[in-house]
Formats: sequence, structure tokens, C-alpha cells
Amino acid sequence: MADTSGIVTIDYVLKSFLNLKGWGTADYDRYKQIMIEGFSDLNVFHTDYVQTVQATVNSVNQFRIPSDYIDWVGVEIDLNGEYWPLDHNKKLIIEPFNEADTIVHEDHLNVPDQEGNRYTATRRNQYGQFNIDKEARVCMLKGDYRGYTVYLKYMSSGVPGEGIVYVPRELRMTLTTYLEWQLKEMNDMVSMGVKMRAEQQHGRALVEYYEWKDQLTGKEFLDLFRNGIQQGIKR
Amino acid sequence: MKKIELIESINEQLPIKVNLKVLALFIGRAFNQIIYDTFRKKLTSMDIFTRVYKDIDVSFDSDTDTYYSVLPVQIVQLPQSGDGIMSIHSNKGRGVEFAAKKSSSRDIHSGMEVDVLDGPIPFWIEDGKVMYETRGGITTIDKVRIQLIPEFMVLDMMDDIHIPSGQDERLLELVTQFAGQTPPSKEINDGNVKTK
Repeated sequence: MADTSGIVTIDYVLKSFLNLKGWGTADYDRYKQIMIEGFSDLNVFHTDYVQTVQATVNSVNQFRIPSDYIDWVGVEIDLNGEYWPLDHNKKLIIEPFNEADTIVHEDHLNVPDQEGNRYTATRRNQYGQFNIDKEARVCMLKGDYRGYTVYLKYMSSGVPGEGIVYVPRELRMTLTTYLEWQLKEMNDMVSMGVKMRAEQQHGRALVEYYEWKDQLTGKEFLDLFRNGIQQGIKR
Repeated sequence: MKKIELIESINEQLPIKVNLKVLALFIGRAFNQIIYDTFRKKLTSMDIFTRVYKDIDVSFDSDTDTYYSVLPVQIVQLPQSGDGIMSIHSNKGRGVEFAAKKSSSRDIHSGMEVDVLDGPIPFWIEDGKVMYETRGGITTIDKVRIQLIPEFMVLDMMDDIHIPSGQDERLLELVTQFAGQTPPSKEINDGNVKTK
């Protein structure tokens, strides 16, 4: 028998929920949308789901950031096979650009954290700087890097603009309890006690996820202290 | 029990005699009511009441750019998305290929993540047709098989009929109630006081 997968699709998690409830597939899309929002919120507030994309800098020194981008972790540039981190300069402003000229990010690197695979110079490139305009979905660079390959490491919502949403298996219980809680929470016919119980169950699943993820008991202690809220990722 | 046996047995028990075709109509109404009452709170296994219709054509309406299938028979409506349609698959397919949604949800989901990500093809009922969202492989599916609960009236006289357990008495009660509301067959009900 084959091993079960450590990464599952959000459809798998939803089917797992429907199976637990003994429900059919009616309103499948509704449940899936709620679950996607739950997953996205988890990635914003609770997990440190870091993705990396590879892009090529366009003729006005910019590249398009992916749709699942929430916040940056770092930008590295490929200089003769070495990956040089660029400094963040929030004063850089966006250059006018031709939409056709803007190179959309080329490829998601599937392994969420590429630190182990790609060597990054510890020294900063003193000339290169970057800034990100989230609304315009553009990363602009200072220094002439036109045509260079860059790597953007960023916090991801985990939800791509198309295709399939992949979910770490350890989040299955967190997501199923989230959906259960939201369905009860939004139902006027459900009593407050039942709603609170569902919320507690989801909170418990979140704590279990943290306990699984972090080995330090001090962290668990802090989770209780912070009422389940985690700090953002560190740059 | 065959449909004809059910009609005849109820006819025997009925205190009022009505035409067999009218009686079948009453049984159909009572049957809908019983299915609704039994399952409205919890849609547990209903497989025994369902029938599978295969080789149903998927057509394309170029005016509205929509794909649809004509409902093979009238269905017993259930209070959930998809109404009385339990499942739809491509003729040889399995797994979640199609999933029911309310037509109103279609507008809400438009532009949300679920609308652009890969997933089962949503369907809903509209004007006696099963409408499909233009998503996934609907453009390549030309035949589907549909599992649904058909109305009593559309079943053949020799088709097997299943009544939810413990509801036989209720069926007779409802049919008697419906029959009691009809005027006696020999009276003329034209609103004229002089007519006897």
C-alpha cells in the first residue's frame, strides 16, 4: 500500500469534511470557497507559508509579483550563479511601464522554502535595491538588472490564481474545524453555546498545529499567552 | 411493490371511490409530501428512491453560451441545492465530477477563487433543464448519467415503488384527505343551485 501524501489538495480536505459529516456534494463550491478563505487567513495570520518565484527583470527594471503575494521576505538576484540578496528601499517608486513589457513571474519553485537548495550570499549587494508596490503588483529594482534572473521569496496566501490549491496535510483538521465553525457561526438558528464550542474546537486544532510545528514548550506557552495569535515572519 | 399494485391496494382501502387516474395523481402528491417530510431535516440515504438515467445529452446554447441537459423526467423536489438531482457524472465517470449549487450562488461565486480554480462542474436547475457552469471538462462531455428521484406520475405501472419505512399509514391518510376534497363523481359542481 502506498504511503499517504504529506501535501493534499483543498478538494481532498473538503471531501474529508463532507465524509465526516456524511453529506453529499450539494453546495460544494460554497464550502470550498469558505475553506479557501480559511486557508488564506491561516497563511496570513498563523502559518509561515513562504513561497519562491523566479522571474526575469524587464526593460524598465521591474517584474510582476504573483497573485498569491502577501508580503515579501527577500529578493535575490542571480549574479554569475551566485544569489545576492538586495536591500529594501521603500523610497523607490514605480516606473511607468507598458503592460506587454512587464514580464510576469515565470515559475513557482515548488518547494516552499528554498534555503537548503540555493546558496545565498550572506553579503548584501551594495548597489541593488528593491521595492514592491503591492497594489500595482510590481517589484521595482534599483541598479541595471534588465534581463537578469531574480528570485522573490514571499509570504503566500497559498491560493494561486488558477489550478489547484495544495494544503499541508497537518492543516487538514484546522481547516475542517474552521469550516464547521463558520457554517455554525453564520447560521442564525444555531445557539451561541454550539457556536462557541465550534470556535473552541477550531482553536484547539490551531494549537495542535502549533504544537506539531514547534518543538519548544515555551512556544506553546506563548501561544496560550497570546491567545493563539502568532507574530509575522522575520525578515 | 409495483406502482399498479400500490394504486389498486389504496383504491381498495379508500372510503371514497375515485377514478384510478385521479387516484394516481393523489398518490403522487402524497408521495412527494412523504419524501419531503421524511428527508427535509436530514437527507440520509435516499438511494432506494432514486433512478439513474444515462446517455443524457449535454447541449450547448449559443445564445447564452451555456451548456445544459434536458431533465429526463419530472423530479421530486428536495430542499437542497440541485433540488431532486442526487448526482451527475459523465457516462463512465466516477468521483466528484459535477456538484450542485444554487443559481444565486453562481453570481456570488463569480470572481471568487472557487470560480477560477480547478474543481467539479457546478450544475443547477433552470426552466426544466440542468444547467452547467462552463468550467472543467464540460466542453468535452457530450453524455451524462443523472441520478434523481422521479415523480410518481412519470413511473410506469410495472415499476417498483418504495415508500419510506413507517410511512404507509401516512400515505393512505394523505390520499384519503386529498380524495375527500374532490366532489362526488355523480354530482355536477357548476355553481348553479338549480342543477341537481
